[in-house]
Amino acid sequence: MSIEVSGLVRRFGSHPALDNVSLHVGDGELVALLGPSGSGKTTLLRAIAGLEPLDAGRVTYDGVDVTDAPARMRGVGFVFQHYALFGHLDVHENVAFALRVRKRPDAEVRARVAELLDLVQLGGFADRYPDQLSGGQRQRVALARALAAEPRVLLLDEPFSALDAQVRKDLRRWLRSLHDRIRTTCLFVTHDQEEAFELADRVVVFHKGRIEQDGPPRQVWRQPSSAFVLQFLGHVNLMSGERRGGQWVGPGDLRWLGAPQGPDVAEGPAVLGVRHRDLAVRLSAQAGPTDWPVTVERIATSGWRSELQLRLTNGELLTAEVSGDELDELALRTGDAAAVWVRHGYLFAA
Amino acid sequence: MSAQQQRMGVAAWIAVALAAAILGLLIAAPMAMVVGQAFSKGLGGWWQAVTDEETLRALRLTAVVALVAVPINTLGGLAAAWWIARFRFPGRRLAVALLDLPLSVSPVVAGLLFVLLFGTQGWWGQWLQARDIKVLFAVPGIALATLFVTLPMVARELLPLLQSQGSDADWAAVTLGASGRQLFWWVVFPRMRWAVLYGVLLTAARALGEFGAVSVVSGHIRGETNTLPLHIEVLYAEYHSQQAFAASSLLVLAGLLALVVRRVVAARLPKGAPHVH
Repeated sequence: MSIEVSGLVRRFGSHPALDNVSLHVGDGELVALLGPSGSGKTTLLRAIAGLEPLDAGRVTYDGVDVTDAPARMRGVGFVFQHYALFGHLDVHENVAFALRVRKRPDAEVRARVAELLDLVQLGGFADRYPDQLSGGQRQRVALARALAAEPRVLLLDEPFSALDAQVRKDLRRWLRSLHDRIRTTCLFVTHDQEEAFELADRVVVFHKGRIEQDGPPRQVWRQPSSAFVLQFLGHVNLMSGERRGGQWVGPGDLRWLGAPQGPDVAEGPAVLGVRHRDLAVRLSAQAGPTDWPVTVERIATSGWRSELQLRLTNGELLTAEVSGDELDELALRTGDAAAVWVRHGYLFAA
Repeated sequence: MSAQQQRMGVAAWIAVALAAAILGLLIAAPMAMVVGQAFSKGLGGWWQAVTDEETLRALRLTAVVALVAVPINTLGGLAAAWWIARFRFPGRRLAVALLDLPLSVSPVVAGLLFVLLFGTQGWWGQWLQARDIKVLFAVPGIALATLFVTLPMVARELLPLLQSQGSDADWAAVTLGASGRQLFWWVVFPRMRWAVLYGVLLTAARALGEFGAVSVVSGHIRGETNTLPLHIEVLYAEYHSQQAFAASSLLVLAGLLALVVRRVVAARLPKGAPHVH
């Protein structure tokens, strides 16, 4: 099923949780809504499900306007961050809930629940109660429960954020393979960019109740549309300065002559963004004429990669990421002088 | 049990002895006295006192009042707790404070409130008198006073439970297609049934035993507006102490019964940290 939302507005007091949001999700797509907490992504998900009243805007499913349809008539499957299982019912009855509501015959309910429990690999757990299960098992029960009535769309609100790192990874891959099999249109909310990029066909980045960027994961990664997106994706140095005569000029007469990744900006105030791994480090002796001189302030090594904290002559602190081999070659120590140059940089109008 | 718990110091022994003395002196001994006095004229004497015409009438009135107060305050408490726990509205804090008022104000003051409202000099007194509706010094007044003092019991039990459970399970049921009625009977109510029962028990115990507020509004008309606690006081004041204690033993019995049920119910309530998952 395809979903179309247009001009959604939702205010909490004077604060807009959704500020004129429009989005199209195609049939069978797996879309991630990514953003910091309070950016409006969960509000949008709840609005699509009919759990959130709207101040303006329309929601349509397959072209049919459902804005005023009650949540229980919409036929969506919703998975909550903290599972929201029914603690007084066993696993079987939790999964059966949507079928009991629809008064399906008992034999059909039993067959369908068994099928779903197999699907989520919890075949032997029908008699357990939610508080006898681990977090990962609970979330799989919640998924089976949401799928029971064959929803037209599956909506997941931070489904893995309450789980351990390893369980989270396993469940993420499992959900991807499940989606490849059942092909239900699927939207999930996350604040974890790694999760969004690994799982989704398309990533929608939220900021202050608006959609900041919308595109395939690789495109969002390579062409962040704003300094906010670049910063939210993480591991980046941001420096304010200005675009002047085809150069970027920063405080302390710092100059960068390179061409920006993505679109260029007009003359005037401009932010230069350099990912940690795109800031190259070399010894002062080998420094080129446009390199920036730095002092090594701290070296943090975690296995195969190291992070260098480098102090510019203008006092600003930059971070560069190098591999273990590179660090061995450079043989730098805390307090040493070195030089950096920008391998790839992004420019945004400030 | 750990070894540390078994080895008790002198201070601990003194504390235990003190607690035992207080319990014995202030609770166990008086209770035994009540039972002893109730049966001081034998089983026959107790039976005669309990089946006395006026005692039976008082017992019936108390039962009627409890039967009015418990269902009304259970339904009202359910609604109030749900309303306060699930919705954000202006005056919400005030609503919580008002809900606590009957517990914090003296029962005598509660009774006087109703005199102020329904007495002949009161706000609605003239209006009621003109229509020949008796509230004060009649059963409606007693029921109202009892309703007032037992108002918060159920809501107070449910509110923390509802707040700790959160509303996600309710939302989940809605997205799964549950109607309002299915939501309530299949999800909302089963998740709080033991807390409801506990609240009902507290309400019933208080309704049976209420003295102060009821005393102000009842007018003490023997055989008509005397509840069991009021009747006991009258008997005692008139030096019918054996009859007074026999009637008291009924309230003691009800109290013990409530204690037993309470223990059973409390064991089934969710314990310790709120159930987040």
